[in-house]
Amino acid sequence: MAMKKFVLLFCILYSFAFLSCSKFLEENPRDQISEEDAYDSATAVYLNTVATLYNYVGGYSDSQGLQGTYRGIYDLNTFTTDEAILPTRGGDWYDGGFWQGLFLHKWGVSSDAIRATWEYLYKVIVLSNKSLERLDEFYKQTGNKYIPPYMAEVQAFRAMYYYYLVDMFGRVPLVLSSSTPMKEIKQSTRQEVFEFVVKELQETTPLLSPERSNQFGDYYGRMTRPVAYFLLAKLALNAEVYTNNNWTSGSRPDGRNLFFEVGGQRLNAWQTVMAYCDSITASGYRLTPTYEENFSVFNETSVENIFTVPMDKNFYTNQMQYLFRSRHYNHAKAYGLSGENGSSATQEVLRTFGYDTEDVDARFSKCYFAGVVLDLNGDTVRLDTGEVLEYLPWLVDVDITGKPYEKVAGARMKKYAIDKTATKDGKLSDNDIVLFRYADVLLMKSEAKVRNGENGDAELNQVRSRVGMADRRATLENLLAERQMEFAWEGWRRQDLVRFGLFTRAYSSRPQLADEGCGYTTVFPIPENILLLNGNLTQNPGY
Amino acid sequence: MELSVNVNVTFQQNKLLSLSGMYNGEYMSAPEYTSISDLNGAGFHGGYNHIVYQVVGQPLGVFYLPHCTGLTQREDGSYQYEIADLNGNGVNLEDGEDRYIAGQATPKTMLGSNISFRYKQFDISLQINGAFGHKIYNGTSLTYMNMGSFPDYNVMQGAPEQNIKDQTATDYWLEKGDYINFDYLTVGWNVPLGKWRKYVQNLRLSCSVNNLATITGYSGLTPMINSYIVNNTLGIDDKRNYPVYRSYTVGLSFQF
Repeated sequence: MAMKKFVLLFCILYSFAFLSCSKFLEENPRDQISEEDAYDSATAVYLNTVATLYNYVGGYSDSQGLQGTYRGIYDLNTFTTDEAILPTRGGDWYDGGFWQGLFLHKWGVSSDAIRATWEYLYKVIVLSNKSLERLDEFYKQTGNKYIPPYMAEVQAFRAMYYYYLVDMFGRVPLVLSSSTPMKEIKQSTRQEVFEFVVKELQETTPLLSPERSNQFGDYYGRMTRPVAYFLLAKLALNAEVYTNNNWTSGSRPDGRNLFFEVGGQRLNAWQTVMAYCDSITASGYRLTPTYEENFSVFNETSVENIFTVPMDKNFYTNQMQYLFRSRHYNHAKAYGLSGENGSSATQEVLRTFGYDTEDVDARFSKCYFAGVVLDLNGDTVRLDTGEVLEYLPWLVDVDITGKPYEKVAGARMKKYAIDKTATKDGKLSDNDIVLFRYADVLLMKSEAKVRNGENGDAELNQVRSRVGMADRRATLENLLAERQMEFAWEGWRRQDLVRFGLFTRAYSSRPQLADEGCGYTTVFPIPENILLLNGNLTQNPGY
Repeated sequence: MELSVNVNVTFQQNKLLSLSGMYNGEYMSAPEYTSISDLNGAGFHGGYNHIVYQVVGQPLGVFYLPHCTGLTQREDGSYQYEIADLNGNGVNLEDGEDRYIAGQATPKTMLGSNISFRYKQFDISLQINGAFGHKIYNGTSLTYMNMGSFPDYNVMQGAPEQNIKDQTATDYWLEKGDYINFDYLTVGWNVPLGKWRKYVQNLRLSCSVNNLATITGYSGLTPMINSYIVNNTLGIDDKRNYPVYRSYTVGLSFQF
């Protein structure tokens, strides 16, 4: 009897538990907003489809972000060139041969860094696709006028990521939906990708805001019209490279025969560069009086910078790790920060700047630390042994292990002003990372003019006179040198060398690879793991 | 008098059969070689520092490494690892090139044994563990036998004589991981209490040694690293392990 009662009681309790349980399962998590709330106002739609994408422009872990972190887009465009080298210094910086591999162009087809960079670029593209689908759905439902500009912004943002892909990987798949099945993902030719990017940017620019992106305000850090113009100018400037589906063939199309529709006119590649550069000039961009203010701690007021990675110790997690990577330990310690004693200028950089000569370029001391190092009070920085810390620029090499100068060889990165309140060893500072700036607009225009058979002296010398340097004739050779000096540490060198046809040449400490003359290393390999995942994809020529 | 001997021997074997197949009507596949654990720390970040992999057709967690045929002397008198050109088209450390399956990270056989012996008021018990058939990557030696990093980093005894200036990860520092470890030995004495039993029911005095001894051919500090859990430390002795220590315990317990 007692047992029966017990069973009954148990059943009642159990069914109670069951009933209340189903109610209990209705979740209303306080840390998440519901799907409806997420898109109930213009602001909410913006925040959840557009703004969220800007989280990925910068980063704090390897291969994430357009600049600021290690082993990503910036390193693949910088340490593969005659601009910068990470010498193996004893037990430091060997890293399984990674940095030597980049410098010697022996990066291989299964490099983790190249794969992670590919994955980063496509991650942002797929997230953009998702945002576009969401916006499209809303537009169909509500017909709200504020949606098309958002869609334009996301499309242009996605085009920027494809621009990096076409530049670095050449033949890549155009994935335009977040739900494309794997078997439908196929590679497009380099030219097709290029044309897609140009079309997307051209179509969306009229809908983008004309506001400045580098300054505080509603459009801070965002894809605005001048940013899109800058990308279009870059695309046209490199059109010979990007329309060349057969980059190992030894010849490429002529920019004068590559045509673009700009504002109803049919212009060749060089005229197109000029037109977009002029549009940026007309938007009010100009050179700042001093070179340094573009890289100061609070460089959001710059009239020159066009597109930046916003940096703020309190608002964002984006990091700028390159100063940390370059400075000697004691040099960093003198600022109250830390350093990894690594990246240095190559001997080519020293020669271009005229280092150690009487007419050294004024930008050398703005971009590099060389010789005896001073702390912020002007006192000399010393090594642990008591000796004065002196960087020895000429002694850099791929591997300087065991040399008495292994820790001090190389001119180091300066460029960005020291943020004394920086956190995370100096990696989290307030200086916005400069991606695009107006000096580049002038030098692009000068180069386009020269390539189109015109005189580009005015633009080149505008850039030179800002830093007090004497005029030079705008020749291709002078322009490439000028770009190396003006944009030191800014991540343009690989693209520039490829455009000038010099990426595969030999230089100090770097012999040309046996079969590199055909130009196969001007494009990175499609990561081996990606090829194994998708049988439709094929490897780039030469790898 | 009572003697109890308890021995447990476990044989384990596994094989990764496939990482590809159809899912929702789509064929999905995985790369042939996927790294599980790598070396780490200053100078060992990225590059060819992958050590343990998952490879289809192999047990989960195998060492997939370049083969070092020995040390060769450079002009300056230092030594470097000579790497074999396994596929005959020049030395290339990438996956699928000059690397081979050099052993597995997880033990093939494991042993657990407890022996206890009681005689009158005395008892003694010994726990023995062992693992066999696996290998350990001695990343600590790779790092600290490298004279290239001296004097910024410490080196091990013997490093100056051997004078290796190379930190390329090869099978040179891959060692057998077999060991037998005497986990603890406890000796106890149940003190005869006689007339005091009305105050104290039981009084036991014991003395034990934890991590008494290890018999192994492994040259590092201890072969008892992570040889079981599939994560980024599997099979690698990578210098940051706090070494296992020996502890002595004296115990006195009263039961009232």
